[in-house]
Amino acid sequence: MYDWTVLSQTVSETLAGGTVGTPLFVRWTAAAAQSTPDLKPLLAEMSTCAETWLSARPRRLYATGSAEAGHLSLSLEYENGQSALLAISLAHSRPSMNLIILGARGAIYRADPDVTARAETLAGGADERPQQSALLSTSQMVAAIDKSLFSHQPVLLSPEGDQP
Amino acid sequence: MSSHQFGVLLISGRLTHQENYALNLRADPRCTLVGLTDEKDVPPERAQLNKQFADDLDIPYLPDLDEALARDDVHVVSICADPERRGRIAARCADAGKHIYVDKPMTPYLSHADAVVAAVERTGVRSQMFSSNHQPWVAQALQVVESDELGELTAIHVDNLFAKGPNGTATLGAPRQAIYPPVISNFVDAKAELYAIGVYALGFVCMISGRAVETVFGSTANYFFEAHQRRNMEDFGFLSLTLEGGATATITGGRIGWSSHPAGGSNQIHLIGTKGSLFLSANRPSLEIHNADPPWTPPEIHPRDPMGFWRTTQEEVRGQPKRTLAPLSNALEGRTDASYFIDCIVEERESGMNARQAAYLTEILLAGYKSAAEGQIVKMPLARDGDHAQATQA
Repeated sequence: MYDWTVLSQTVSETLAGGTVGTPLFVRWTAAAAQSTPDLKPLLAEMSTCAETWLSARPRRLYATGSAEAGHLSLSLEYENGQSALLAISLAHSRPSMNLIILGARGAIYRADPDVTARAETLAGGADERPQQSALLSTSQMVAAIDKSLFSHQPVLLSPEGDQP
Repeated sequence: MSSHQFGVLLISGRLTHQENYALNLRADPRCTLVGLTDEKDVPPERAQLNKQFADDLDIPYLPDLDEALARDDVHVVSICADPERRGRIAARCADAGKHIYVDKPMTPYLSHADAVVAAVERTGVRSQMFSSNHQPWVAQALQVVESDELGELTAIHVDNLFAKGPNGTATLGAPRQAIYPPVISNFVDAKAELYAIGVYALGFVCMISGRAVETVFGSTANYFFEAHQRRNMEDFGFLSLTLEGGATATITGGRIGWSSHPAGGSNQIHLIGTKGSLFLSANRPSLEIHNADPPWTPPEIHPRDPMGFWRTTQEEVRGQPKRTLAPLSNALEGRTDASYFIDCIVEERESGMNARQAAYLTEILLAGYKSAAEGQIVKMPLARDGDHAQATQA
């Protein structure tokens, strides 16, 4: 079964090998959510993965789209200058995804756009799972995403949660 | 001369995209290259590069743009002047009653963009900015959206990342301090890459969605090249857009280095609809080829073109194409962008990438730079209160 945890671990191990140099940018789009309530937690999970891969704290985010419409996008900028562009949408009958990680000396591509299992496993109980390296918990990240969606503006982040 | 035969005047020569456009126009049986010209006061080096390319093509070099535009045998002008000069020249050509084929982006200045649109619409000439919008795989994306196979389009994500240049030289560790207006110029070793490459992705978004952009969030970075950093120009950037009707779009544009992709770079579209999604790429489907040949290595660095911008310089350093991926594309399906423009002239119809659309892309890009510098969302349209880009001597 396909599992984003395996993807996350594999990417982390590849990055740790130094083959692409310092990781700088994550581009991850996934049409993989089972239902609209899954969208925001999944997006927060993707953010946690990106934060782990980049080994950097997010300092600002900007979210667009709407869960009701079945699609959300998230722009993230990190303290050391790295960035990420993430998007999640409903899987419907045919899930698909794209992942690019740009490093200073190379890049990682997930070569197959097919998703062979739904990503619902990530959403369930996400907050119970360890968040060793993430600046914000999943619920804090969801709150920051909501704030950006409501205000239509970027939101500054801190370990205590988002800031006005 | 039949009404379907066109005399083509070239503006600017070597070390511009004219190196490609001229060959495509010459290959179209409806076109004859009449000569190559430029503004009278171009720097001596530019004049020399122009003469060299005229010699390459065995056509006359006409040193005075106004005299060249006065010729009755010129019907179409292919304009590849430097970014700072391109818009004003395009407006002059349109005012002279010539159909204009313009390098991308059309201009970094809003005032020049508006002037080109006004001249084209006043004189009724046809116009087109170079784009990749007419490539078969992009046309397929448009077809899928129009077929309603995915339902209503809710999001579109596009990446245009060129795998060229000797990456790994930028100083990392801090966010880029973006400036507005941005520096938009073609240096020998750097371009503003969100502007120069992101324009392709924006072209896809606008054509495929068919929707106006309402707001722009932009971010720029210096991830790969010391030269871009030194010139205060980004080598990478992205935009997050809201479109009319509630849809969203994101694009990336950048130059990521020779060794960062098995082919020319990432060129892909992820379509999201209310009934499904579809991922399309210029590199898919493809054959993967592995053999006993030595692995591909980047070309030698050409002193006049270290980033690999131009065809002639890469031929001089004997740059070899990458051979790992062979996309399954039918070469017979694709018409060149130049021939698509000639079709528009012959059939008396507007190009989907006419001057008005090209001006719109300039405006979105400038909104992205403004957002990156100010850290705020920028609403479209931009106020007409300045030129919005810094002129710099290349």
